[in-house]
Amino acid sequence: MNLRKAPTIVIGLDGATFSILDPLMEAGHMPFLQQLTTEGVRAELASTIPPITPPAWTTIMTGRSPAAHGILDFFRPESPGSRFLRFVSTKQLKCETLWSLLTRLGKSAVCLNYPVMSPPLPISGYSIPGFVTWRHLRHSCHPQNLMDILKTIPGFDLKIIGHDFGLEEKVVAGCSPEESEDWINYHTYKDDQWVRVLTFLAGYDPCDLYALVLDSTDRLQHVFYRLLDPACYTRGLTEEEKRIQAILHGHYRRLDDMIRRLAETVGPRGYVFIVSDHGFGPSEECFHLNSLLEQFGYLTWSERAVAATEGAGDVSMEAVRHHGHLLDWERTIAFVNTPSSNGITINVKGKNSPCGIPPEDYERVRNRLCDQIRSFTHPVTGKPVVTRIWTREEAFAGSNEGMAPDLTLQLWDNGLVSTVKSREIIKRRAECVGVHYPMGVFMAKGPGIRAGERLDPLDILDVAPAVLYSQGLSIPADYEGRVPVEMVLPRVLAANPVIRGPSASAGEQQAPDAPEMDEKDMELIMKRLRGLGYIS
Amino acid sequence: MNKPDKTVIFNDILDTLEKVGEDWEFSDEITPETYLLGDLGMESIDVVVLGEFLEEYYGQSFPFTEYFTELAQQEITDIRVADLVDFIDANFISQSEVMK
Repeated sequence: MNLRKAPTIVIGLDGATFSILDPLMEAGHMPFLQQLTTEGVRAELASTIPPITPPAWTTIMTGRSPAAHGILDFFRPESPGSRFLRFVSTKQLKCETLWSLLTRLGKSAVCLNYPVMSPPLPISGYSIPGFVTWRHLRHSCHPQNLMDILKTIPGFDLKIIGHDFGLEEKVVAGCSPEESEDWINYHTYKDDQWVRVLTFLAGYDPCDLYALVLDSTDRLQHVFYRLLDPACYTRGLTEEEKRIQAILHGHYRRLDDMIRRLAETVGPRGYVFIVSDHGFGPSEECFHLNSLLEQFGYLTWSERAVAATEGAGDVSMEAVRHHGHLLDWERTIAFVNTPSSNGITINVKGKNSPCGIPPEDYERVRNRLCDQIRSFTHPVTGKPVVTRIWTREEAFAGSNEGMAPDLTLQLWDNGLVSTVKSREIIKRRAECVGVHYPMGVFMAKGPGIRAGERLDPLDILDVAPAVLYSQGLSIPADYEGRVPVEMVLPRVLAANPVIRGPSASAGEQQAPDAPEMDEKDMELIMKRLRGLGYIS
Repeated sequence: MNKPDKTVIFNDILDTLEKVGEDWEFSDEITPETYLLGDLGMESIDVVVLGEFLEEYYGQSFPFTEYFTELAQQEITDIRVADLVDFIDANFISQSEVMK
């Protein structure tokens, strides 16, 4: 058996977790995914520290840890030492992507909706980045005329595949019951557009590797986790919640059909991987870490923050970028820069700040801060709020260690901290939401892959080696993960041993079958979305 | 690059908008009084991306996020092209200044 003849597809389901997928499969909402697990292997997949989208997907596409690839968060300082933030881009990417590696080896790739892919890289194939608004998609794609090619797809909607930062604020702000149906349909429609783009490109110019991130899973789970994980609704649901849950189940049935269409693009001899960047779980409280640092005497709020009314706890990406004015920087020693980092930065005079502690006090201050955080307990349960603390050198040892927070925390509920001011350090949320958990999903199917086996948990660093192996390629010496050889049949592994190569250059009710949305369904959804101003 | 005058900066912004705005539905003439969000339909993140194109063109960075944060603090939710020209003019560091 020669592994290199068949194409590979990596279907990314942002934030997918078996806590939700398993009940959906058992209830018959995701028959294709169920079939895939019986024909292939499955495993939990440990995410990056912290388990957030940009570093995790970048690890999947580079085979390197965040400390090596340089993407540690959604954000980076606007300029060295600046308190103001911008989104990360390929300009901060320090390692070669799978797509660039394949290009270098004479192969080709399609890469869609991956974060940190703008400005575009010159690959052999096609790329459209995620987290870019539609207005800037044209010049963020590769090749430059890709949008003109895609406009030949009947019904192609350029605007819908762009990232709408305003709409996506619902991820933190939540949805009113009236908005829920449209919010869900918006994501079904958006995912479907991405699938159309990939299947079109597979016919237009077949490539060796296809990779697409579908992000409805993350967005909907943030808002509706309590309606998706049966462990969250053991006490039953209201009629309205049951209605929304049924719509969510419909979304997952359509998602299952999209996964089928994607898998079919590589044919029966191709390899199908399904991966998520992190898992998901419930969170009922919010931990206001900056306010705790204030209590400990490390942080002083600015007059603007003092004047500001208290927020709910979770803040939008836009608000995070602009948060630099909330602190009195001359009287702050330690602070949380972004909620997504779950990390504390210590101001060291002359190193990362014009003010702060003297460099010789760093170890003492950091150790004392660790001790104080470890001893902080939940006001109701009496248990530690922070279950694990990594120092910068423990979590991010590597060439980009200096960019990392001094301390990175894991919370009792796996949630992300809040950076905004609050009188209560632990504040109860209005309702249970979904937050990122460390364990995501991995599934693989293809010639030579074992059938119906559950593997021990894998590491997110193992995804890129697994993908390269499916293409019959050697694994770069600097890749930090391994090929999960336990997924391969022994005779196939014997014929195709892993070869290390040179380093890479820098519901309760049984649901009916879900057909693909027909034109009438689509037009109805479009009409509603237009009416709401979601699309024009 | 030596510091361009405001007319040149305005034309540079127009050129950049023309380059990146092929899919944008805005047919009216862009003037110094055109609002980036209200008239051109941009989101604030779009303005930052536009700014990154200008940074690439001028070969230097500008504190766009800091600028928008300050505007938000003053409850200013939109800016004119002329405001963007003034901002670049105020923050432009010419090659001769770098040499000093």
